[in-house]
Amino acid sequence: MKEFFDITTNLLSKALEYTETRHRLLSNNIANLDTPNYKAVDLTFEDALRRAVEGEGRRRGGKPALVFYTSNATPDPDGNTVEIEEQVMKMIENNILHHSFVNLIKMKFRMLESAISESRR
Amino acid sequence: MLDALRTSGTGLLAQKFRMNLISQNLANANTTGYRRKDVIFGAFESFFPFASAVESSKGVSVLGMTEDKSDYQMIYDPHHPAANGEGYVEMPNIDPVVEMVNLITASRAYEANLVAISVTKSMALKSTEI
Repeated sequence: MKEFFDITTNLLSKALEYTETRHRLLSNNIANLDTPNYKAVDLTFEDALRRAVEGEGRRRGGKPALVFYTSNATPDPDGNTVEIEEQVMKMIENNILHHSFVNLIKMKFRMLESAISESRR
Repeated sequence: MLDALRTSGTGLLAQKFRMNLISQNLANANTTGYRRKDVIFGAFESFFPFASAVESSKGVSVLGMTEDKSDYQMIYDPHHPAANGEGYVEMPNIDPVVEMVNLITASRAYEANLVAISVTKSMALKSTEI
């Protein structure tokens, strides 16, 4: 049973968690693109990867905290730091990443499937 | 994941509210005694002080409207029924150029939220293929 959910599958599921969380944050940035004093937030991939790798094998129950980085671009006169172009580009990039991770998981399960079905012959 | 849809929905509603106010301003550009209206946006805040940024990401809310407090534009027209003692009428301070720029900004923001919704849909549908 341990072989079904090995490190690859776990890492990929953490990667999907990353893309989904990031998408929620970016959607919130776009919804608030005219809100005064709103600062855009995002996640970094290195941080999520480190968190996923370090979290392996640890059974303390507490995950290392997610670090959100707030944009320190020059704010607009009303204090808002959301750049609509930047947010849409990030969202599209995140979408592509998400599709890639889903495809990788599909391939992994297909490998397992073929291993199971081949062994019947 | 699907509460990203609700978040984008709040963005759409907020921009639509703003567009309604802009239309109202334009329609009342020649109404005596009308004060220009504008919208106040605020980010949706979570009730819990230690909530992470993810939990507080509920979108934008319309906190209220403001009325422009600047002085009226005084037009000299003694034959106007609403003219005051000196023959001046109080006209609103509405510049159609400013309102049109705001309208374009609001509709761009509306479109950006639509893009966010279509990306949410694409990601959620892709996830069902696993």
